[in-house]
Amino acid sequence: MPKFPSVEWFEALRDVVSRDDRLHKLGTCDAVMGVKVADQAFEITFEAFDCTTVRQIPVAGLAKADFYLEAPPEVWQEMLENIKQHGTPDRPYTLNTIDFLDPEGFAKSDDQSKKDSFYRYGQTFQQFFNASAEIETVFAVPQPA
Amino acid sequence: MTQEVTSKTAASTAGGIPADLREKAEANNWPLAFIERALARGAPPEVLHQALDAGLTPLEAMQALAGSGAGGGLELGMAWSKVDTERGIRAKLGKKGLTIDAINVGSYGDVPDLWPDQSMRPRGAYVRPGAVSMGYTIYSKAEVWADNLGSLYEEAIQRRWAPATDIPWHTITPLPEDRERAMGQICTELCEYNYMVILALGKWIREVGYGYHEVKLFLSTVLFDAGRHFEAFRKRALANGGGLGMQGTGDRLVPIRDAMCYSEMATLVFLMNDSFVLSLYELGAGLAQNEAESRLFSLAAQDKARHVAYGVEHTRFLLEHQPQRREEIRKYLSKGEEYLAKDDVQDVPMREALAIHLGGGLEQIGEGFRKLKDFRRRQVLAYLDRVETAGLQDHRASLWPELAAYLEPA
Repeated sequence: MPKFPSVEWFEALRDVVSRDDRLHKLGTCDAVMGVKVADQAFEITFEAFDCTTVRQIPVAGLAKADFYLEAPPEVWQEMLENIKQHGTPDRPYTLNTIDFLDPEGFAKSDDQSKKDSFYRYGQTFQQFFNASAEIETVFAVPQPA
Repeated sequence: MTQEVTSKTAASTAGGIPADLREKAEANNWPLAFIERALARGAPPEVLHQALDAGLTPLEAMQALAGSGAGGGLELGMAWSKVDTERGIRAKLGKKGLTIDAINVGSYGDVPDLWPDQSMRPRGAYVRPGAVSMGYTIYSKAEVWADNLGSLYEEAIQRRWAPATDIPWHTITPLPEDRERAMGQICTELCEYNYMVILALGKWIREVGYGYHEVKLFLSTVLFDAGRHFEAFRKRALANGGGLGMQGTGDRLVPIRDAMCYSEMATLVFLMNDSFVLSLYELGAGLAQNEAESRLFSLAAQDKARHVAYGVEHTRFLLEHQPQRREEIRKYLSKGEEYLAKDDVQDVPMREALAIHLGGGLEQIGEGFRKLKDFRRRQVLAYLDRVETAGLQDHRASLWPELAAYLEPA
């Protein structure tokens, strides 16, 4: 079972969304999304109708992404467990809601126009994380009791 | 149809039409009266056979015969096929299919800095002397261009959605009256803004010459998006037992209405107002009270982020090529900010509706007003970042004071 966060985990999502036309139906997406969980960073690239590459990068490398999603590990775990339970996130756990309600923002970038990719292709990124409902996840950091 | 005429022999029938020609004409649904007229005017039966074999319609055959001279063989001009346009073009398919950028090959991809052609001639087509003038007034690339136009157009086509069926309207359940009324007010004013976008673009899109078809294509998608947003927000207002609210003051729309040039309109719509509206769509998605609102606002935000992307890149292109217009663009922004700030003060219904929405209800409106201040700060910061990315550094120093006030420490 892939562990979150890990390249293997994100690759598992990539494999799920590549099996059918769920991303194709949403239209083209050209963006590099970063994900930061504690001190780990990952880069997920979307090009045309596909999620093309996944790799682990140094945290400093997040600056090259269009934007990156950063939240404490427990927030990530809550979101993913909610998606696993329901197939799609309840409203408090959508990417948009987490971002709006976080005073620091969930989606971050030094360049607002690049950060706007988070909104411009929002449905694609949401669909990507929704694919976690179709895999089994082990969390690297257990949720505090 | 070949120029060479081959002989055929055929038996005549009553009416003077050879039997084999009659049979062929009837099989091709040609009126026999046409055949009779053509033969009477001296057209050889062999030529009519050729026209039928080539699959021409009677009209096409008549035109060919008229050009050939009475009784003579067919002469096709074909001059149109020999005009001096670039030939041998092969566009390459990419991962996104055959895109508008992919066909910008060779001279067809040369987007000139000036396009004085007043006709509807497609870029790259041969000039027809005396073509009808359409009276375009915009023929400067810098006035309208952005390097991302082609990709934005294709994205708009790819990522389109249908409010009637792509929003899970069935997930809307009755809300407390204050919250439903607040959403109705917000939707009312979003409808008005999208009306303005339709009005503004409808006025300016016709002024742009066809040398910049990418601009016209993209603006067409924005028109379509604005219509769709109007439709979707009106539907939300009327979907749950509430209704529309009060008409907005419209102050923020005045500078758009009065824009004297395309760049003024584009600055006000795509760089300024759309930036604030995008934040509003983020609010709608973030505080969605049901899946329908979540989907509606996030889909609308996708479109709006695309519009903003044009605003940023167009401004950047304009300032790179016409840097002397920097202060002019700043003035447009200042005027827009002034009216936006005025709207913010005078539009009490919208302000209160947002506070109710942010606070979670009328009873929490006090908390809502506090959150509204935070939200305004967020709007202004995002707007400033986009303006600076577009090439207007240090715009914070020029920001309209009432908007700058949101950035001061609490």
